[in-house]
Amino acid sequence: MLLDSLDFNPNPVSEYLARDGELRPVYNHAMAALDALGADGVAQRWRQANRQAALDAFCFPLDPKDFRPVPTDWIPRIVERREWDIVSAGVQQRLKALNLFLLNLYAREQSVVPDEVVYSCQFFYPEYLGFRPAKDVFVHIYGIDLVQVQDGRYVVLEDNLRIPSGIAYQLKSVEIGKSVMPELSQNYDIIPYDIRGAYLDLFASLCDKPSPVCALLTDSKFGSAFFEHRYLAELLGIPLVEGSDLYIGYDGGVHMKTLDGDIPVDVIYRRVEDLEIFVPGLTDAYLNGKVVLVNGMGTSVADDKLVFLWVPEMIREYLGEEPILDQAVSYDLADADSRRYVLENLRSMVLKTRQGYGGLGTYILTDLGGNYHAQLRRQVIENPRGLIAQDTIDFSKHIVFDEPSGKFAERYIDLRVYALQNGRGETTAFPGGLTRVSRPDNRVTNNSSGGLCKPTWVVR
Amino acid sequence: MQTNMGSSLDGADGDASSASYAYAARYLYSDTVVMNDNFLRLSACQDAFQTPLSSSIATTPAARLIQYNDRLGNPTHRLRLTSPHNQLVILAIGSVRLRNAPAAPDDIPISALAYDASCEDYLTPTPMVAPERVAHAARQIVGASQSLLHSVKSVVDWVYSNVTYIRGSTTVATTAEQVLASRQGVCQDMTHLSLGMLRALGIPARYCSGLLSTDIGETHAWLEFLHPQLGWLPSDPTRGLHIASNADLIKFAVGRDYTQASPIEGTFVSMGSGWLDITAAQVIRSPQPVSFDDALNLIENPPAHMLQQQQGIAPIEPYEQAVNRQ
Repeated sequence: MLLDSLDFNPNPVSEYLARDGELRPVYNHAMAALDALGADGVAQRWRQANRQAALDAFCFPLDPKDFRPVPTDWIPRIVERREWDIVSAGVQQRLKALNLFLLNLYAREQSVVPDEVVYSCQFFYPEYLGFRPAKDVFVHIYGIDLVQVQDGRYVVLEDNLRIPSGIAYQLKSVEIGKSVMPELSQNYDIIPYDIRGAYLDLFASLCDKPSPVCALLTDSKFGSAFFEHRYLAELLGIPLVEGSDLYIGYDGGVHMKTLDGDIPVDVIYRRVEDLEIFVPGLTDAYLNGKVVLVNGMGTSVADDKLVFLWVPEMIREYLGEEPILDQAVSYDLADADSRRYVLENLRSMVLKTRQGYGGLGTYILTDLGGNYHAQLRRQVIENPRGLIAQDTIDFSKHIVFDEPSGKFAERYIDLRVYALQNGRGETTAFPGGLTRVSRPDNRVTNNSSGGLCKPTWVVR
Repeated sequence: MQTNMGSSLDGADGDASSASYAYAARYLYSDTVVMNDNFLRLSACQDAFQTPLSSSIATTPAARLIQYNDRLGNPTHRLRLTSPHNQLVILAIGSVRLRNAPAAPDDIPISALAYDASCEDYLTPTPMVAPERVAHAARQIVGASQSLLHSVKSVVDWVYSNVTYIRGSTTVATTAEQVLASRQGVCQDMTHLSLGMLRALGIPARYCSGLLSTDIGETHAWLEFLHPQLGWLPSDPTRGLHIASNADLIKFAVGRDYTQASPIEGTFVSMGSGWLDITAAQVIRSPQPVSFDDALNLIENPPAHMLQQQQGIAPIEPYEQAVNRQ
């Protein structure tokens, strides 16, 4: 067996293995198909898949001049339906609670998170106080980062509400993987989902129009997520626009310049944060209800790592339910007792800057040298409100195939799941998600930090 | 130093006085600003010696402000502007009732200080005040003394006599250690150095910002040290007063250092740079109300001595093309 070449470490959990160290039954067909291909066969398919990814411009350039396909490991992560049902319910519960929190926050009626925390968030926008977004939904498209721990539970690490990216990578990695290695998936009943249908229904549900004019606003074709912007615009059949393609008309509404004349726009699927930099006047158009923005503005208060601490309380307060998913144990360093505990146990902590994203500003102290410890200790003392701490979690690993050496290796993986809330208040989570794989030397999995991605299937 | 000035509000409390204040600042920008996000600590805060009676803030261009008390209890306004502008005027007015701290508090030995965990923040290093870097000097200044008040007096007197007040000699980023080396600065710098020395000696001390009401009004920084029985007592190294009169000071904010208590802290997005064009304040030692027009008048028709002071203020250098800090 190909796997025999792997020198695996049973701690922490290896997700493709059962507790007795044997392959989990759900992986039997896929591993048998890989064995049948043999190391050379797998390597050849790998090159083919990577070439396909390059031809499809499946990229996440860290630098605008760098054209390289998203590094992908094509061995799928297989999630069983019973596991997914829990994740899906937990993600939707969280999304609903976050939306209610935002609605109450901007109505100045929330009391779950202390004022001094929310009002000092970099991305709290006082100009939206008193504003109610269309159909009272702030977050339409939600991304949540999860990891699986020893006992198989999924634990929440982070929420992404500003402009969560990556859903195109979820789709594309599965699509390329299936087309290049059909024999891997042929014995599986992968649960399908319809992102195009769900998004178009979302846009329509936010306006009182059956077929609103929608556009996807991108930051630029040099941005790192441009592949995704283009892919989604094509998938949804909506125009892909830059800021200069839009302007505010005399009616106060947003207009899009096209070769056939100018067209009023009803919904902007925005993939930018600073509206005024891209389209001067867009904030007012939005506040006056002339255009719907997806996601709404002001949502990223809840991206703040400090606000994360109160999400379980939001679920209890706004939904009257207990959280379905646990979240990483987190500490507010401005609290003297928490700070003392964190400093005494610094080696087993993860420190995160409040506004960090994409893995930037995340420090896993067990993986860092002593110099960093002293620096970070100092940072905690000097500016306790700039960071939060979390217990380090031993989360799951998976196998990746290292094409140059023809061998398997284990790496840490997480799961970014995408969910949606439409204008009727209905929520959906798209089965699977984007599995992100860490680099060999650490456990930060974000693509912006140089990780790989992996196709993810939910099977019946 | 003046005490017991002004008319008493209710007559019952002979030690109380009222004051009104006006503050104005104008920022100018060399290119259009599309987003301007600021935290304003420009309203009198509540403490044992000061009770705010009224406060209000206005800006041009007009903005929706949200007010909240930050973690340290400082009344804070968040101001975020997203309509294009080339200048920003911030006006603050209000009135307070002031009560004096005891002029001669009891002295006690430093070794007898017993503080709870909440004081830890006022003993440990902050971005601008690293006590261990000024500890050696502090010990030399205080010598063998073990008394709280004597130590505070020695440090404050030393800073007052050895650090020369020179406008423009330092920036908002100058640390306590740098002030010890250069021996020059403004009230903020003298306060930082004194804070570092007091903390090094084991005396909890915090940064205060607000207005000084003697002579003409102006923004000022001083410190407070913690007295176990009397609470936080003001001390003003810039004026060489180891126990300052509360009645001279209208306090807007406290913090571990300038970064937590600065009157205006913010960022803006522009292709150009920005600078504080003029700032002025006025304190009237009576409950007579002041208006925004009075505040605006301070910067539109500034007295000659104020213009002279302004010359020391350096422009805010852009540190990035699109995102600047003020």
